[in-house]
Amino acid sequence: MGHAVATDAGRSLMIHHLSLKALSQEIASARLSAVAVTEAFLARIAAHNNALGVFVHLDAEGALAQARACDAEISAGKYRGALHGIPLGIKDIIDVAGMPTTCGSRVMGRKIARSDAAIIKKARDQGAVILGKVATHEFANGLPSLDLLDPPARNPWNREYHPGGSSSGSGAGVAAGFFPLSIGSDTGGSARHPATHCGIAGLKPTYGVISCKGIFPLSFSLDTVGLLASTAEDLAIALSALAEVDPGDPTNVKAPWQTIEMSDLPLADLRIGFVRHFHQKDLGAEPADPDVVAALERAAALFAASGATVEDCQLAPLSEYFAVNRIILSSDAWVIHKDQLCENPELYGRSQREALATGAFIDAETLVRAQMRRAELVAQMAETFSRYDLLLCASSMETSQRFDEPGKVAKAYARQARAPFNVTGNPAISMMAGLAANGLPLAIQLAAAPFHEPLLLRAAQAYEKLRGPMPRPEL
Amino acid sequence: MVSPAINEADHEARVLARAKEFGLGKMLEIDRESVIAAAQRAKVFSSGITLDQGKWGTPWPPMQVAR
Repeated sequence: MGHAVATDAGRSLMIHHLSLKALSQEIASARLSAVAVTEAFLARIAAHNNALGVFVHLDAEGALAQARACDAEISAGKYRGALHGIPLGIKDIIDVAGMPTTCGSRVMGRKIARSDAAIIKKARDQGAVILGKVATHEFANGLPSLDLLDPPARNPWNREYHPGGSSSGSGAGVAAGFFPLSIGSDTGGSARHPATHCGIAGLKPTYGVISCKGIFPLSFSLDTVGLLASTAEDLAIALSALAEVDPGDPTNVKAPWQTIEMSDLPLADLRIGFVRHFHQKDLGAEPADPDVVAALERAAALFAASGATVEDCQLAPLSEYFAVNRIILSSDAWVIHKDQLCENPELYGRSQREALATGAFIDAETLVRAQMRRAELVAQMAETFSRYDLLLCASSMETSQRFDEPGKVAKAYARQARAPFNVTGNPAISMMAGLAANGLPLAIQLAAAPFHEPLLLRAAQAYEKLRGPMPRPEL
Repeated sequence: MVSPAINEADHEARVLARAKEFGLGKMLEIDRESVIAAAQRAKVFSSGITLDQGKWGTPWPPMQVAR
């Protein structure tokens, strides 16, 4: 059962299969009402949320009221923009007025947020419909856990497997067709990781271009809003709508672009650095999954066959980026949680207790050395982008792992190449690259120079065209 | 020569003392293993830092003075 819509090509598509762009066009032209769209997604959620654990708080009545208001505005000739009438799932570390912000933790309980985070206010100004709050790892940190306030989100491709995280509900929800866009966060790869394992697209914008005001912090100099959707074009629409200057967030910066135009990118002019050593040399004795390597090589070959220059590119070893990311993140998180962890450690999940207590054992000298090394890594990355327009590299070194193999989950979580771009602040996107032999999604990652999201997203769109259409999970 | 077992016990005692110093006494009571694992994680992360000594520019002006 589902809500179908006829396309211009005469085909019939389920509403939950439409891209954000297609939905936006349907609503703007009044071929679909915001209420019909919201009802379609709510029906999908009702049918499958129990199995997938995506929503931790769903406000169906509130969403329908928002959708009715959107339709009334369109009838009155007021169209707010590309997010008008688009249903969103919000990671549960982001305040939405009137809804609980649990951060996935007993520490927070189910206290109701009294005001919207800046990005939620911006989304509402653009006409978005807020469906509710979606699952997160506890305080957007650590591993998927079974001992928290709510059960963890599960991977729509196989429910025995985790969906990646910490924006776990965001990735699973987009892949399952519960909403076309989710607002998550990305401090060490938390938006790109679920995008990788759920077969969608996940963007970490340049540090600071989206306000973090009203989002529970994990690490002040690493936290970035992350966006998850089905396509690069949908992410471009979302980023254009949601990036803004916010004096309420001292880390917020003005991007040099306002609207990202997704015209075709001439690939012949593109210089791509392929960071092969991340997955070939930097993992020690255990190499990356051969399916992951093959997907990366296919992407490199597709870009090269289209005229782009693709060359091997040398950065610092992956382990150094990871160490810098974890030292800064752990120190910040310790400061944020120290009082609560010391007073009420039993309120945290076990994996989170371990992750947060790590910061207690990092001394000032180590933190300063990590900051110094970070400055070197930023300079090295800047020099690299004087030679290349884009970097191509792995996202995860394996496909997703089973929940009932926690040792493998913990190991695979650390074998990733997303943290480098949190350390340096560059924008990066993870994108589906096919299915592995085990039937789970594969992904590649592209990164660009700071504020070069227009180039990054256009290149990602070019890759989507070269790669061809991707399958969806059967629920 | 000190046996590895004594060294390990010594190290663990130092970790536990430091945990108490930082206010993690309650956590030690309910989940000693996670405290010890956290100290181990911190050690692994800390050992991952090297410096290129200005190869990629001057990262930190006070360090230039120190050199």
